[in-house]
Amino acid sequence: MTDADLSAQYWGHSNVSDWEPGSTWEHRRTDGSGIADVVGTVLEAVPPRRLVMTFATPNEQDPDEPSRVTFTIEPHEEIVRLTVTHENLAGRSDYEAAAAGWPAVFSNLKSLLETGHVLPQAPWEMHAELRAAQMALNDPR
Amino acid sequence: MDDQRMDRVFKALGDPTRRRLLDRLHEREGQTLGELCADLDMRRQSVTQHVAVLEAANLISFVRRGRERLHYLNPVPLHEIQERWIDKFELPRLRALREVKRQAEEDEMTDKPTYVYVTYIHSTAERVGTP
Repeated sequence: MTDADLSAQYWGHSNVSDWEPGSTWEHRRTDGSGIADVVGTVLEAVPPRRLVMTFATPNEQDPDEPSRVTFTIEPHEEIVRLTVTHENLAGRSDYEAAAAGWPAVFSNLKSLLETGHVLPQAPWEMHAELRAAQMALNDPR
Repeated sequence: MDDQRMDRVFKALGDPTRRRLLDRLHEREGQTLGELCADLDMRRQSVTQHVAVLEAANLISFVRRGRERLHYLNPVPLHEIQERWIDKFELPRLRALREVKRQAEEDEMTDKPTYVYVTYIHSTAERVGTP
């Protein structure tokens, strides 16, 4: 989650930050443009069990109330339970984006960790229109 | 329903005995005049007059059986009054209330929703947490 190169593999974006509470983080495109499609602030970091951060598009309508993402990691013998809780979503369309995005990212992460390879097709290709529409908002004008 | 007919309906309803007559017929239709008198504990002549007013307003009707008349409710004028004098004023408010309810419930559902997703991975916390 916190490694820029690995997150680029399973997420299609690089998560870039020093992951210290109070620091910013960016969810940067890997096409060399350096455009961040999501930005936020690290609120809590307790590696490797818990990470809380704000999560907003750069043009967020309501920057005072960004959504908040919490990752928790709970080990149990040889497996771990990874939970993402995405709170304070701005509305139905953001909820739909979260419902499309997180399973794609986590499935790819699961494949990478268990097999050494991400899925043969990027899972977000299956909701490419939604993804493209979201990213178009952040394209340079 | 024209004004004259409506006047007759409201006049017919404007009397407690006649409203009781309607209630009795609502409880059990097809009563004879004698049965209605016994039910209301009133003299036959008095009940006959009230029944005549209700009939004039078309609120009750009767069928003959031999020398008796069996009385029945006619719900049409009351329904017309409901449409004309109640629904007309209530419907816009009821619609507004329903719309308020719908929006309130929708807002409750969509206002700052939370999405939760859980995955189980054959891995370690260190590998998941810091890849």
